Amino acid sequence: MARLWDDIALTDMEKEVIAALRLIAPGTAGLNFVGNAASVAERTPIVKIASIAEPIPLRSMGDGMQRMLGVALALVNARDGLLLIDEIENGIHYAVQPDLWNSIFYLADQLNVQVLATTHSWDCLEGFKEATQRKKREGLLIRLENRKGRLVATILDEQRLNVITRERIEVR
Amino acid sequence: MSDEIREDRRRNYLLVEGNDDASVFYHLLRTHQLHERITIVDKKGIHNLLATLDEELIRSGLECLGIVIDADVDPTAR
Repeated sequence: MARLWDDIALTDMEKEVIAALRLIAPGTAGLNFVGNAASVAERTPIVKIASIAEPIPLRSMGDGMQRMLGVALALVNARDGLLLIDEIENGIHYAVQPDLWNSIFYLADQLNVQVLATTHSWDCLEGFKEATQRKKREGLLIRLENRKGRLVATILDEQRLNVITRERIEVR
Repeated sequence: MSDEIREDRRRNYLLVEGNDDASVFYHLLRTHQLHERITIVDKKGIHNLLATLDEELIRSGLECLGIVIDADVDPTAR
């Protein structure tokens, strides 16, 4: 993650990454990576929280913050490209999932990134649906189903996604 | 929500128009010891039932889907 951070440090994208972290910890004021300068792997993220005098390790703030940082950094480094995210909801509280998706939609749009994410989470589907509706964003749910050894994809647009979440029709 | 997941493991669904129908069919199925094999879904009206049929058909693991609608006064219109 330190290398991805180095690529966007002090650019406008840095602000977007911090804004994404604020979805989970609203007091987040800044981020940096510290540790062995000679080894990227040994540099770990620290954050400045407005109400706390000293910076604190990001890992002390829970899985959600680490997940959000990973997703945001990957996005801002995937300009004009494709980003694949497995089990996107890992560590993210259900209540902030619409905001997570909102940030992803915004950054993907700004940076021309095609995002493909997998999930087994109903809360994640609902968050995705809410974010698509909030600002009429383009998003598709592709349900993958194993039918007797054959993988079948069913494409569900916003309207059908709306029906599925409203009626709580199990599609996972 | 855990109850819903458990219900969704049943693979047979019966869509009905409303609460009364749901109650009638639940008791009918229970009398015949079938109530644990079929999930009855109250679709809250014929319009909603028809409008969401495409999505009901892609429910994960679905084996049989039954639909009960009222004949009302003009059966051909249904």
